[in-house]
Amino acid sequence: MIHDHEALLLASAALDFELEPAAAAELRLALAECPVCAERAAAYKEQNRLLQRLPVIDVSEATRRRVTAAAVRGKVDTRQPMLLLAAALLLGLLLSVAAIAGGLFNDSRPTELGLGDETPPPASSSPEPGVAVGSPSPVEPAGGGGSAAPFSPDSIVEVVTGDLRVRSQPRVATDSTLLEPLLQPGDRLFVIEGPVTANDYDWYHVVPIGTNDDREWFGLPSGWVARGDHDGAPWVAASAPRCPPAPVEVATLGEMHALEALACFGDERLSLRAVVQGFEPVGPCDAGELGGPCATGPEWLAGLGGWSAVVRDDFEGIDVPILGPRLTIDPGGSVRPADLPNGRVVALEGAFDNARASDCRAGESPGDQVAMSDAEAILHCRSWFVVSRAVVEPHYLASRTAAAVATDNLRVRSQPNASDDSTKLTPLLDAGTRLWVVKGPAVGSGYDWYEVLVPSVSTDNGGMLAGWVAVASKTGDTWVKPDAIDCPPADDVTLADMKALGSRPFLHGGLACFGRGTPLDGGTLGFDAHARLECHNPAGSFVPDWMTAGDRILVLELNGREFRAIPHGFTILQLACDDAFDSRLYRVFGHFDDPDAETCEPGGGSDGSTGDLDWAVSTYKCRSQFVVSYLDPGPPRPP
Amino acid sequence: MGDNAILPSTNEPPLGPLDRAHAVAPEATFVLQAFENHRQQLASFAYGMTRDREAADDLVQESFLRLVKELNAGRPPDNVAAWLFRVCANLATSRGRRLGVAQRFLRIARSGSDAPPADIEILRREENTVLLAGLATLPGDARAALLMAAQGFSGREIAEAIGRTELATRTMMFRAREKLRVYLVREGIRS
Repeated sequence: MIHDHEALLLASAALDFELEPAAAAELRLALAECPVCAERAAAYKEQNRLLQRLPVIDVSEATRRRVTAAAVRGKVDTRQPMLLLAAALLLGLLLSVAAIAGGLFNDSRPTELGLGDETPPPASSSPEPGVAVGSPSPVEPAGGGGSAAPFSPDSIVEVVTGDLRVRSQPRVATDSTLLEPLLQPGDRLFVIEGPVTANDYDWYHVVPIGTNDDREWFGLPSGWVARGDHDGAPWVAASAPRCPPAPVEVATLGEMHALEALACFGDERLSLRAVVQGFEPVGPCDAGELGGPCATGPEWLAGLGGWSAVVRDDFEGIDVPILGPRLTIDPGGSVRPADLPNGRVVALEGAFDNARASDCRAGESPGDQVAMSDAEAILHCRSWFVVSRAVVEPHYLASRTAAAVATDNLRVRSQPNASDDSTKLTPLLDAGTRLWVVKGPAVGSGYDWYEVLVPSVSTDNGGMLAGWVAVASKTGDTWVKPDAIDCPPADDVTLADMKALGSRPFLHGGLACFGRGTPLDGGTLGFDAHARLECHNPAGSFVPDWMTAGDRILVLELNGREFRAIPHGFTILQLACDDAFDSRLYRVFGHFDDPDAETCEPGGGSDGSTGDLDWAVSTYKCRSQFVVSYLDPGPPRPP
Repeated sequence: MGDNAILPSTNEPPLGPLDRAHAVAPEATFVLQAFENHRQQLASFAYGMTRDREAADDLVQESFLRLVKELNAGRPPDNVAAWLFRVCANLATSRGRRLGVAQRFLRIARSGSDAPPADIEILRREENTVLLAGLATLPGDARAALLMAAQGFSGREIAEAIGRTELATRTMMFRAREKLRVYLVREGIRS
């Protein structure tokens, strides 16, 4: 016969999980013999029914529109330049198909439907009202229609007129599809090839790479644009690429369009420090299965997947870390896949614009989609960062471990870099300060950073100091090192040991010695102690409400030493509230790092109290508590 | 022949979102299909998590935009419904953390005195109001788990969504149900 508490747990579990036959039978028996349990089990079911009856809410029209637009246009804001490039190329092509199919955009203006299609490349020879055709270019004084020096492939140009048309072919003809949407002043374009002269226009094959801040550029079509009108008035003008200063940081590359980086650096050899994030490589024309046309050629250049250089190793959350260039390696070179381990900081050398990209060609496209052109396939391959040298850097610290400061005046910052956006937190840390590592590494400003908690330092608002610290100088001097805590043997701990672990200027002694990830892995410890239950502590002040007895503390005592722990489950029932220590010497069983500690909320839960709002701090405090799961009473002894 | 020949007849019915998506890319179809199938379920879930209609709308929107992002990154989720609920729950939890406990309570207090939009009027039923208030006393993970359970997700899916073992999820859901039961009894909803 199972205990009532277990019966209720099973009754709850039965609503969500398939119970083993034996457990189901035990539950049936327990509910039959325990009317209160049966009543509560029914209440759990009723709760489910009440929750199911909550009114159905629908999304707003704005959300529907935005999601639909994002889905159709494939708009993403992941700062993944290679994906942006590929998607831009693919979408440009797909928009061409959609235009041919004729249904994607139904807002064509009458002038664009004219017989014979004498429409010049802008939407009309007469511009839309309020748009100044031929307005002076901010970057290029020369006129448009072929009088100035031609634009170079790999250069950047900017649209300087309103409603500039993109076409699928470099000519005004029926086989040159009108692509949507029209380009607007400020739209920035990467020149793939050109000029091709036709219909007395100079045409350039372009890919959009950005625009003004107040306009979304993603989804603008790739294709051919005319440089200017017949009179020399420019429609597009040369523009300088927006290149970052040396040395190049992966975060900076992550903010750039891949083609902007290609325009800036070409095949220049670059050195980067980055956290490597691994992906399964996808073969060249497997890419087509992902929804678009594909390129063929050397698999390591034409496919997708592979690795990315990222700013930080932040796999615990769902936030996308800042992504730099997509990385690939030449299988004929000296770098091997093992040189790019996932989640490690690697010093990378390499370059965009690999010579083998010239071997890339357009592959077959799935379904009714238009194939990528050869020029676009080559561009796709040129945009990979091909790693020619990779040195895996030391792994200074592991997440969720103890560390200690190894230098004086170590700064804690709000972000993993030394920019002005990264607030300098105070105070500076002295050598020997104990830390708890939350996550890392991250790279920024030439350093490796880890997010840490500093349990011995309070902030002005009374919370625990938390932030990012650089773990070594650029010359390799260690500033933060793993903390060697003197752990007692797990099979022979005493109350004195537990007391010592909890009496240091940090909370994580027990967590570091016996928590998950240690040899004991959060398993059970046992030691002898007298016990008493202290009740009516303010809920949330010491333990959060994820414990059923958040207002109760188990006080353990031996030889004059006291150690406070969290009673769990039936432990509470074994002792009466606020009694004195009884005569029994209990064998105390419990553990650090209870899995439910992950649910700890700042300020002791949702009781409305203010407090430390940092979730990491709350979790840390909860994980550091010793949770007593059972008290094994020994024989009574004289007090 | 002019461009007219390759443009659609004006009598042709406009493409619906799904047709349009099909003309563009399978990912778009995938997202829009998921949106049609799960948006109401997810919006109700988000409302249960936040008790804030606008916030719920934002959370649903952000969840689907992240789905677009995932697909573009070549990482289609195996179980899109579970994935959406997980992301939505995480976003709701993150949002809660950002707002802070005090702000959350200010928001709740204020919404109680404001005239509600007409379509929320039904939520005025005492039972639902108390139920939502009871949910709000639970930690974010527990709240998400109970709401997902009510939406028909299995325990395994819930465990996966909130990133816990099945055993830990069982325990957490039991505690949450017990706490909610006590709350509802205290508020006179069920004895």
